[in-house]
Amino acid sequence: MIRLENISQSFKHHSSKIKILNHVDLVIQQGSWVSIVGPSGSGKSTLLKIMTGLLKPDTGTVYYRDLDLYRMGEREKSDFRRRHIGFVFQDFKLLPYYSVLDNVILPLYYDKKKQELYEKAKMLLLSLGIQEPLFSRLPNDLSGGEKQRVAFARALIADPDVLVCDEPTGNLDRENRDHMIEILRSFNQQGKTMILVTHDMEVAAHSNCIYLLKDGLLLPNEVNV
Amino acid sequence: MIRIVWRRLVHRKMATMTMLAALISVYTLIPFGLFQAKEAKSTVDSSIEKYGRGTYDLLVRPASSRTQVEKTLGVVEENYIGDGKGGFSIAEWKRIKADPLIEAAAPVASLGYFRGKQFSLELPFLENPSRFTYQFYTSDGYKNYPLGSSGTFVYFEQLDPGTTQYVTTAQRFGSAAMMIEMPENYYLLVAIDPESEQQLTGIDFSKLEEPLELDRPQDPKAMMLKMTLENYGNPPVVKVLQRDDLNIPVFLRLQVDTLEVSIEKYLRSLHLQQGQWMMSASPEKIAEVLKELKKERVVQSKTIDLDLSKFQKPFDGTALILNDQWQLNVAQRYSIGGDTSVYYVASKIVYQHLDSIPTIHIVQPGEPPSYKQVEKRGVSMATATKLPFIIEQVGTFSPKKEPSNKLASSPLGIYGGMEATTEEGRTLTPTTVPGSFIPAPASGVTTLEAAELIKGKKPIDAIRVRIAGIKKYDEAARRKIEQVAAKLLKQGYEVDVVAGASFKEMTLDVEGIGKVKEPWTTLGVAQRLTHTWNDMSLVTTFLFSCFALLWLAMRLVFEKNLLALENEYLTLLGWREGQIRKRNAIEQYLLMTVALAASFSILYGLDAALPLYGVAAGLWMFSIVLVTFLLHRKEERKERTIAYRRFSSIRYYRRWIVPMMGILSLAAVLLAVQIAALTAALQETAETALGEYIRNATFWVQISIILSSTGLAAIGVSEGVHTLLSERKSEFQMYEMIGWTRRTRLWHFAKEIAVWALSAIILGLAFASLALYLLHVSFMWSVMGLSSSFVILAIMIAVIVWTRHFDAV
Repeated sequence: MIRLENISQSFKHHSSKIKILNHVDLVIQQGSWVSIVGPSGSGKSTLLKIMTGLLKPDTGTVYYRDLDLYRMGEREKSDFRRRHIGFVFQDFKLLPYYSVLDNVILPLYYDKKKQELYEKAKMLLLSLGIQEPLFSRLPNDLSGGEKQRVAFARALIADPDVLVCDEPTGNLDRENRDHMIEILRSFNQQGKTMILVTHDMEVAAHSNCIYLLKDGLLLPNEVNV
Repeated sequence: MIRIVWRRLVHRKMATMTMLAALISVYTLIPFGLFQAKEAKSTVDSSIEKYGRGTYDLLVRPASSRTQVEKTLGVVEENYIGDGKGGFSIAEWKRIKADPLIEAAAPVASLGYFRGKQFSLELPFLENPSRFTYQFYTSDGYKNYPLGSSGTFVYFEQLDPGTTQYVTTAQRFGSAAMMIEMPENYYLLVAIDPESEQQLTGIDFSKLEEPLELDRPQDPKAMMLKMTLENYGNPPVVKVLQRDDLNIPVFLRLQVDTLEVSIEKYLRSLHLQQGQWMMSASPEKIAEVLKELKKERVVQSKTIDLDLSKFQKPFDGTALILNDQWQLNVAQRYSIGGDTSVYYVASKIVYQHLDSIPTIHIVQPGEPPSYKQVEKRGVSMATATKLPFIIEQVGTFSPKKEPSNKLASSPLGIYGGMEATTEEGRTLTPTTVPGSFIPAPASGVTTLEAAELIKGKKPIDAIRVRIAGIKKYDEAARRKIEQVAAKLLKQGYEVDVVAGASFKEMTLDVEGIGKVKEPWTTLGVAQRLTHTWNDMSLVTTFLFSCFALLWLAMRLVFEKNLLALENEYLTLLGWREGQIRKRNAIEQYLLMTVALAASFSILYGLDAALPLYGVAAGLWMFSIVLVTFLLHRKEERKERTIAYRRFSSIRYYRRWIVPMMGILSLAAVLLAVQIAALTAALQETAETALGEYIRNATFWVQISIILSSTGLAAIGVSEGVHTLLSERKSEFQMYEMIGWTRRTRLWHFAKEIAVWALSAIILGLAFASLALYLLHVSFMWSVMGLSSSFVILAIMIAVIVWTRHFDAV
């Protein structure tokens, strides 16, 4: 479903160049749950950005169902992300001035009728355990777990095929982390693809495949769980 | 501490540079703008001082002399003192003149339209018998008008130099030459006091005071005058100096038909013998013969048009002879006619529809029509044996071309070289008959004694007063002039302050011609100009200063809000409140001081005057005080839990947005008021030559003030938007990740900015409307200022938003 071919990426640091990804190849099948682990600064987030069409690599390309992401225009890439990929971030990236409900509908804000979106958002939030009284609240008034569930609802609003999570449990306590893992598992059980970047091996252990990103290389010996 | 501050500034390079640029702009542009406003004012003042004073300062007239057009429009046409009915006696004038505050008091008494001597134009002797049919014309530049009726001469032959055979009814007495009498033309005669007039104009009129010597047998003119005086009861002689630079439009159309006729046949018709002179026949017979001759076959015909204008003089013309090549030369033999004791007086022109385009109607139809009531006066030589006076030209004068000072009109009121132009650009001039709609200049001047003789005991229409001890037209001069004016007003006279008068183009609707443009004079325009530009300067300085101070305040509030988050972190790290405040203050002081040094360098580079450095330093001090105050001020914030339903992002970021709205509102007020007041002032002042000069002299200064204001607003808003976007970087990252296109992100942000920016601009424009109303700026110019301000700021915002990058990843 997602194929990364010969991906290399380096960044300039003063006068020298640091190679962060070195001829990386990766194939992710539909419905699989892939975790990428590695130390801080190993290039996990960079790989996610490249994978989702947000950062053009120095070499190589990314295919989504045989579509070359980097041959698409800016508008096509945006449409692709909006329709096929849901994002969950470590810092939630909830807009502080929008209510919970408004944050959830943001991806499709300019695509569909608001009423229809609100209905769907409410159902999603309820299914994720966010009760109605919180719908009109501002994100700052929510707990960390609630914020992450709201962010998860926002990722699911467009009904994506792929869920990309960048350290989704990094800011959560144990109870909330376990709850989040349950949510991810149920999403994966619906046949959706999960790509998880984490350095929490307990979370990674729930995936089908774990890749270790180190020194620019995605270690070839997969750890099958 | 300095080290940590320095590192922060270096780390936030972009923010530091933007802040520095903004502060440098304030410390440079504001002193520069204020200086420009002052410069504009001093240009206005010096222009008025230099050019504002005309030839005289006050016009004193008898009570109720002001015309309707003066009362309604505050303007007068050229030569506006002409056609007056008098009102001052010579004794009254002498009393006014005796005032020590008065340097010169020059009286004017318009006497009417007089004719001078009529000289002859001699026709040539041709090879073959010929018929000459002639007609004189005058012109106002638009149309030709026949002068008198046409006449005919039929020439047969010249027997010898003393005997020429011709017939005509145009000549009362026959002579050896065929002489046509030039047409009767009338010219305005004005009485003056030679000495005062010379004081005012610098022209020597002393010939008027020289005694007339008639016993000069060698001078035919003197002998002729002596004879006339003796024949008509020795009337007083009105000595006249004629103006010699006038263009008097007189033309002659001459049709020459070559005839094949036998002189014998027509001698018989005249009952004359061979060798007898044809003009010795009776006038009746001659008329019959001329009729008969009309039936004769014309062998050849030609029409000749001759311009006689350059040979015309108002009171003493030139005799001319036409040679067989149809060229004009000065004649040695001539005849002179002239009923100089007959004259016309005319009323002033009545202008109607003064609320729109002043209209002039024909009063007496004719060729040319008369636009004034004209009344014939005097006694004709043809019928009287005694005459009340005889006009005699004793010399000439030529008014100096006034525009040593073209900007201030010197409306002497009698010498104006009045020209008007039609809509098509054709030049119109006064005709040679009284009644022209173009006020005629004085074509001759005479003495006040002559005025008494012709017009009666109170002949003087107006006295032009020049105040003593004035070097330049400044405030002190104006006060002095007003002091004398008040004194004269108390005596019951009509007094106008003429100092500072200037030309203004007026459009008139003249019956039979259409729209005509004439240069009129606005009295006391310099005073109005001073007021207008003083107001303008005051408004500019006030608004610019307000804008500057509030801009700084807004900018610092903005910066303080920006520091709020960092302050929180530092508190968490254990910094004391005082330490945080000190760090923030030192950073701001440092920035402000560097900006001041940079602006000093720029001002030095611009060769700015010392006070500009003072203004910049003053602004720096204000900034220091303000930043100290703001950083000490504690704010209590309530955390909100429920989302706003509308404008949630604007409300959330209000700490950044409100100062920007303040800057925008202020810019809207400044630009709207400045543009409206400036355009109104420009329009008002440009109506006159002096105003136009001032407009040209200050135009770029005013524009640079507007540009400075726009620049400050642009810097303020641009920096604000930049900081707002930086603060919301992660928001834009998120938008990009969740699949919003660049266009969607731009549109989303533009909508938000449009709401607060338009609200701010509209609020500013509302304040501007109020200010314009209080400043009495007309509706049209207010709309102009408000709409220009809106357009400038809207374009500026659009450009700022459009050029931002929303690719936050």
